[in-house]
Parts: sequence; structure tokens; C-alpha cells
Amino acid sequence: MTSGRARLFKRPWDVWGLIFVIPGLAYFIGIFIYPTVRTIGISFTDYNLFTPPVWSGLHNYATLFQQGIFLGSVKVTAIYVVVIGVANYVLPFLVALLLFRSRPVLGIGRAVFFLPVILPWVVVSAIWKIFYLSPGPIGFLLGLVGLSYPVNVLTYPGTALWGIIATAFWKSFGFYVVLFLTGLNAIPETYYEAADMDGANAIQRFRSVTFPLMRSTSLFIATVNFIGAIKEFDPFQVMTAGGPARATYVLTLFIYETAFKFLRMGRAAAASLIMCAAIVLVTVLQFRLFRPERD
Amino acid sequence: MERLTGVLLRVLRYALILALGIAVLVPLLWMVSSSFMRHTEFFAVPIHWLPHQANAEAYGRLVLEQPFARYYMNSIVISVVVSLSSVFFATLTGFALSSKYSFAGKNAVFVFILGTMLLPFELIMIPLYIMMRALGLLNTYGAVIIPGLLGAFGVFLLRQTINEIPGDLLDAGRIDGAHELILFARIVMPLAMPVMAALLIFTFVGSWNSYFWPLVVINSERLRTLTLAVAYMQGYYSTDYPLVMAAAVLSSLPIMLVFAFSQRFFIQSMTLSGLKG
Amino acid sequence: MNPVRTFVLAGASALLLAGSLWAGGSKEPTGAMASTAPVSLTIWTHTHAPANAYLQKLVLQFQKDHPNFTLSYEPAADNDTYENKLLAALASGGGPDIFNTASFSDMYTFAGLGQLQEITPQILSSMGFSSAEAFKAQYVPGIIDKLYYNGKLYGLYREFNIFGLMLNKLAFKRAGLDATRDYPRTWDDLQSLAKKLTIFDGDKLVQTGMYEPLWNADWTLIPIQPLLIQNGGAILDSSGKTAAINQAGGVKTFSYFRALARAQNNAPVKVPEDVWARFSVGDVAMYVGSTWTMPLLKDSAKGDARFSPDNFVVVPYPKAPGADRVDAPIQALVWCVNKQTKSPTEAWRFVNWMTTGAQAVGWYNEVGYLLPTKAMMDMAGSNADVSRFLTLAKDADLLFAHPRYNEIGSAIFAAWQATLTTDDDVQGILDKAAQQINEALSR
Repeated sequence: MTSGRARLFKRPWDVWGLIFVIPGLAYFIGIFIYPTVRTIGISFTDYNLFTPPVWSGLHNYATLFQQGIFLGSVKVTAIYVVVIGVANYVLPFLVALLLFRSRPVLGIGRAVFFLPVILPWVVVSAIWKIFYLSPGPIGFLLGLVGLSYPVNVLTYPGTALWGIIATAFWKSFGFYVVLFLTGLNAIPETYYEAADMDGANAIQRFRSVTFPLMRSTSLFIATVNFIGAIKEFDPFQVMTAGGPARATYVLTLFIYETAFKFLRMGRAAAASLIMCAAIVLVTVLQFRLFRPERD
Repeated sequence: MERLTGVLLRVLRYALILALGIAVLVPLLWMVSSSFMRHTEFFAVPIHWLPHQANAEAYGRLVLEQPFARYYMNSIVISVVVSLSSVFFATLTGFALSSKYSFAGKNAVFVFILGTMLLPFELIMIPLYIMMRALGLLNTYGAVIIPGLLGAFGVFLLRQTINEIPGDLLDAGRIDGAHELILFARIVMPLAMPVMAALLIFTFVGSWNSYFWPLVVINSERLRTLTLAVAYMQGYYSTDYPLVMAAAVLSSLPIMLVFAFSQRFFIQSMTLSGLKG
Repeated sequence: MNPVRTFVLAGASALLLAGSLWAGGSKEPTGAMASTAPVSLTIWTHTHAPANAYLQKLVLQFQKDHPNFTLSYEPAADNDTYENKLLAALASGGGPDIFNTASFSDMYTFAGLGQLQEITPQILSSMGFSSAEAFKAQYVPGIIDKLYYNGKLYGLYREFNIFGLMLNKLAFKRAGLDATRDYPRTWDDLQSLAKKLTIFDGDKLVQTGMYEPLWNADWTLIPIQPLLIQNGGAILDSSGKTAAINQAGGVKTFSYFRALARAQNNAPVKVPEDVWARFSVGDVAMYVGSTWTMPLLKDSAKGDARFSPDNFVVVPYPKAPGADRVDAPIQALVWCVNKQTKSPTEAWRFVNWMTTGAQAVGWYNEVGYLLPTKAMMDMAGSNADVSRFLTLAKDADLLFAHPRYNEIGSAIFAAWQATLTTDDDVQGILDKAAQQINEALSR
């Protein structure tokens, strides 16, 4: 590219670029930027939608950090995000490694694995809510391998979150396998040939060739996974409504109920800003961690 | 020895794919199968994996007792409008921000739009609700559609795609005196069509499956979408399971069909983005 | 005689009686009803088929008697979204003129948000009542006082559901007991009965003794509120500004219900959904019910031969030794008028007409709603059920209500779930709930 921003338009037709960008830009400003600014404003008020907002300064933030429900939901969300993050990284990676040479079966397998990914979460939640009943299908299947399933996992606080994690994993697994496969297929054969010539075994090959060259894929997956997990709402609301005893009460559910059930807009706005800050923070950290070396 | 491990590995691979395939399909087949059962058979012990007396009465009841066709139409209208608009404006905006144009602040605008992808919907939901209320749009199609008319992901995708289009094509058109809009319609759009189609499908599915925002803004049965309907069918007193499963099947059918016909596009569009850069 | 069966018999006889006593239609006090200007009102309700039908009838009749009124009635399509629908409509500055609340607490919430039109002395006098006392004379003494909030009257009863224990005779018989004789008089009775009435066949649960619902806050309070009060406990302390649920009375109550579940081998937690269906055919022995329960059970039975109204017995809640009152819970829903309405007096006039006199009798006969009006009191002499329920009403209290009920109820419900599904210390569970309640009460 040429020297800096000396001119507004380099060539006569560039003005059309500006014209074409205006609808999109206006939309993003109106739908994202303006509301974000308003949210920030609302977070410093007490507002119940009916009476005019009342300034309250940092009161909402202070209350949130002392509020058991909020802190509890942060904890639940953290557990969910970490567990599903690890699960959605390690296991699909392994499966992709085992599968990526096998061409023909790949096509069919890929299509099947992707089915849960494209279904609505509400549908998946409905299916698994029934699947987890006791007595029910899961109990039967576990019985086949000699395990017992005495009660519905969604009924007990200790197990409800794990039930949802398992369902979420089932739903997203195929997506990550395909992502890893795409990344693995992008690695040129020459690297592997070089490794073979050096007499590397499978593990060494993975460590010195595969894993390093998958850095950008890893970064992409980690980012997508994290952002998707922290934003998840549907299964927590439909399968357990945040229960039992708030064991599955994630941050998104907290924000939703605080706003529309408890009519505390200010507090919900503050919570959503905290959530946004967390997303930005973790994403930046992930970029630092996974940054492909500039060599 | 080499051959043995080779064969072993292949068997392992096939076994793995088979096992995973079964794990994926069993709940889905259960959904279909139980939608054809009667309520009493549903709770039979030991469990009936396939209905012993299959009948479609759940489907009949679904259509007769509820305005299910209405729900379908609502989902279709919303998803079609959102996806068409999203794709068109993503292409236009992506074109504007691509290497084909250069104006002051272009990169800043792109980074800015990209940044909105990080924003969780919860951040903007309260002001959006208040805006919809002020516009009198609560409980209308408009409230659901407006936040979905354009997405940053689409802009990113199309910009990347249009970058690959040789600039000479456009220059040739300009020499011939063609207006920029014509260039957009006659050169850019046709060349970007495959990606546009992929994005269309992707956006359509995303809108079809959406639950959270419709939950917030839709309160009347008249406007209910399929996802809301499936959720509401599960009461806390009692649930008519075959009915819910029938609704689940019907709600999933269009997506499955679209997927079946455009599988490659689909997967391509969803996995395309970050892997190149 | 089976008290429940008389519902149906009483219906027919009461109708005849009502017709003769109130021949000539509604008995309104005469007064200044001068204006015949056209009035247009919209009415929203949640949905309950018999109620919808009866209300439609009332609307037509009122319009006939008052041709200048145009009433448009819209029942909700379903009850899950009714409250949100109301809220959204009110938040948009619109909404219906007249509506019933989704729960009694909503009256407090909406009043607190300034959305309700109270019944003012002016409105009372335009309706023909010389004073508030004259107005309240239409009802069982004291019952309207419960509808005041911050000194103002914001609602009139639509439903006044007094709860009792419902027992299924078939289930009792299966355990070798007789429901009409062996019903529980004390809470200890209830527990030992529940244990006897829980039947397992190996691992499979065949019959549940006493069902403990895990549905929502309202259905938590309905079983526990009487015992809580009998134990001297309360949700909030007497000032109403601090949570008291974690005091001795609350801990005793929640511990009892955990013991009840454990005595039944956790059956109430293990049982799958469809409680009404199971109760209707005798797979659940004891539960709570009100006047609207029988039609619901009939529906849920779906024609199963094991269901019959004769199979059920209704008895009062148990009483703890040392308690002087039972304090059965009353689930009330009220009619409210939108603050934005253009015709507040006419709206309240319609609501008052709709819920007193012959119309109140009609609510009972056709829908099973017992309104505590003078008309019903007069009927009590000839109708055993009405008499019994009105008697129960003397030892009953409205369910806990509060403007911040959504938050308080959530805390109570979470504590209830934790009590039944974990082994955590009950005091600790309730301390947590108390903390959440205090947060809800603070700004």
C-alpha cells in the first residue's frame, strides 16, 4: 500500500466505497454502538422500565460483587466454560488425528457429525431432557454397559450441570472435529516427509510438526469455543431453568432474569458489561497464548 | 508388522467412526421414533426404542390443537427476511471494505465492525428492548428482525472473498464507463455467489434456531416461532412427550433438508473464516 | 357423604335456588348511574376454558343490559406468557382496561410500579355505595381488607381458592387404609402415612405417598405455608424489611419436608412428571387441591377407568400440636384496572357487577370458583360445600405476597429444591435464602 492517509480518496471511484459502506456502518452504530453506550449509562441507574431511571452511581456494581446469586452464576459459568473448552479441544483433536487420513468415510462421517450442530438448541434440549429421565433411554443404554442410572441427573444440583455439559458436548463435537480436520489437512505433506526422514515416531511427529502448525487453528477454535460457551443460554433455560437450586444458573440466565423477571435493568446492564469485559479479557489472553511465532 | 498395524489402525478408524456415528444418531432417531408413539407407550418399561404400534396421532394433534402452521410461517418469514438482508448488505459492505476501494478510515471501520463480533447480545439487549418499545415494535416481526439484518461475520467473510477477485476485472469495467453499482451487480455479486449462498444458509439456520431474543420480545401466540413453541410445550406440571417430539421433528425438518442438499457449502461457511488467517 | 361429589349436585340445586332468590337479574344498589355515554373496555385474562366461557356469557349479558358499553374480551393463548404479555403491554403504555393478575403478588408489583387504578371513594359513590363499609358489606367480613396495599384498594377477587389436602381412596386402599377414616390430623400423621403409602416394586416406584412439588415458588408455598405459620415462622419479620425464613420456625418447617421426602425413600423427588395424571388414577396417594382441581384431574385421567370424583376426599391441612390455627393457604387472583384506562369508574363498575350477586353464584356453579360474597354466604345455608369452604376460609390466609415476589419467590424455591435434593445443612440453605431475600428487599 502507498503512503498513509494523505488523501480521502485515492481514485475517483473510491467515493463509492464510502457510499456503499454507509448503510452497514449506520446499522452497526445504531444496533451495536448506540445500545452499548446506553447500557453503560443504564448500569449507573436504578431502572425498572416503568418509572424514569434514577442515578445510583456504582451501586449496581458494588451490589453485584456482594450478591450471592451473581457470584454463584459466575462460578457456574466458569466451570461450564472451562470444562466444555477443554472437552471441545482435546477430544475432537484426538478424533481428528485418528481420522484425517481416511478419505471416503470422512465425507459421510462429517455429514452425520454435523447434524447436532445445526439443530436448534431448543430441540436438542427437549430431546435430552427426555433422554435423561429415569427410567429412560440413558438408563437403558448405561445399563447395557453395566452402569446404573438411578435418578434423573437434571434433578440434583450436584449432577445437573454435568448433564448439560454432556449434552452441549454432544451437540458441538462434530463442529470441532471438522474444524480440526480442515486444519490438519492444510498441513503440507512435505513437513511429514521431513519428519519421517529424520526417523520421528508418531508422538514426536505430533509434537514437532502437527501441533505447532495447528496454532492458528487452535487459536480460532479456542476463541470460538469460549465465546460460544459463555454466551450459551438456551439449554440452561429450557432444560433446567437455572436449577435445581441454581446449580445451572449461568451468567446469561442471571442477566435475563434480573432484567425481565426482576425488572432491575440497571443491575442487569452492569452484569452484562462485566460479562463483556470478561470476554474481551480472555480473548486477548488467548491471542497472547496461541500467537503463532513470527519466525 | 507394518501392515498389521496399518490394518489395525484402519479397523480402529472405522470402529471409531461407527461408534461416534451411533452416538450422534441414537438421540435423533429416538426423537423421530417417539414422536410416533402414544403417550402410554412412551413410558413403557422396558423401554420401546421403536413404536410397537406406530401412529401419527401426535402430529395430528399438533396441527389441530395448536396453530402450528402459524408458527411455521412466523419462523419462515423472519428467517427469510433476515438471511436475505444479511447476505445482501454483507456483500455490499464487504465490497466497500475490500481491497477494491480505498478511502480514509476504511481499515478503522473494518476493525470496528469486526470488534462487534465480540459483543455478547446481552450487552445490547436492554437498550434494544427499550428502542423497540419506543418504536411500538414490541410483539411484532420487526422487533425480531431488526437486530438480525446484518452481521459482522458476513461482512468479514464477504470482504475476504471479494479480496480474491482480481481488481483488473473491475478496472476493465470502469474503463468501459460502467457505474460502480453495475460493477457490484454484474461482476462482484456473481463471482461471490457461492460464498453468498453459503452465508445465506448459515444465516437462515442461525435465525431459524434463535430463541433468546424472540423469547424476550414475542409475547403473543400469533407471532410465536417454532423454537418458542417447542419450549412452551414443556410445561412444568406435565409434558406431552410425543407431542413435543413431533414438534421437534417438524421444527428440524427444514434445516435437515437444507443441510442435506448443501452440506458442503454449510460446513465450508462455518469453518471457513479463521483458518486462513 | 363425599364432599367432592356434592360440588356437582350443589350446582344444580344452587342454580334453582339462585334463580328463585335473585329473580330478575343482577341486584345492584341503585344510585347515580347517570351517564349513558358510550364506553369501550378491553378485558384480558389468563386462560382456563370454563372461566373463559362463563366470562364470555357475562360480557354479553352486561352489554345487553347496558347498550352503551362495548366490551371486548381476550383470553390469553397460554398461561406461561400471560404475565410477560401484560408486563410488555403495560410497559409500552398500553394494555387492556381490565385484567386479572397472573398471581396475587402481581397486584402488589403493578401497584408499586404505578400501573393500577385504585378504587377511590369517588368511584365507590358513582357505583352507588355511600361508603367503603357499604361496599365491603357485599362480602364475607374482613375479606376485602386483605386486598389493600399501601392503604388503597387495587383489586377485587376473581379467584379465591382455598386449599386442602386431597386424598385418593384407591391409593389408600392399596396400602390397606381407609382415606375417609385414616386421614392425617397432625403433620407426624402425614409423615407416617406417607411412608406407608409409598410403594416400591423392587426398584420401580409404584405409588407415591405425599407428593412434594418441585415446580415453582407458588407451588412451594402452597404445601409449606401452613406449617410455617403453625411453627411460628414467617418469610419476613414483622417489620417486613428483613428475611425471617432462616429462623427456628423456617428451619423446622423445611427440615420437616425433607424428612417427609426421605421417609418416602425420596419418591417425591424421583417421580417423573405428570403428577396430576398419576394422582387422578391413584398412583399418588396424597396431594393438595382446591375447587378447580377436580376438573383438572378428570382431564388428566384421559378417560382412564380408575378415575372417578368419588375416589377423592378433601380434608383440612394437618395441625401441629400447640398451634391454634391451621392457616390453610388461599390462592387468590384479582381483577385490576389499568391506570391508563379512560373509564375507571365504568371499568370498576363492571368488575364489581361481575364478581358479586348472581354473577358470583354463577362463577361457582359453572367454573368452581368460590367468591367470598354475601350471595355465597346466603347460599351456604343450603349448600354443604360452600358452607365448608367458607368455614375453612375463617382459618385460612392468603399466600405470601410482596411487590418483590419474583425475587423472594426465586430464593425460596431455590432453597426448597436444595432441601429436597441435597443433604446440605438446612440452616445453611435457609441462611443463603435469607441473604438473597434481604438483597431483594434492599434498593
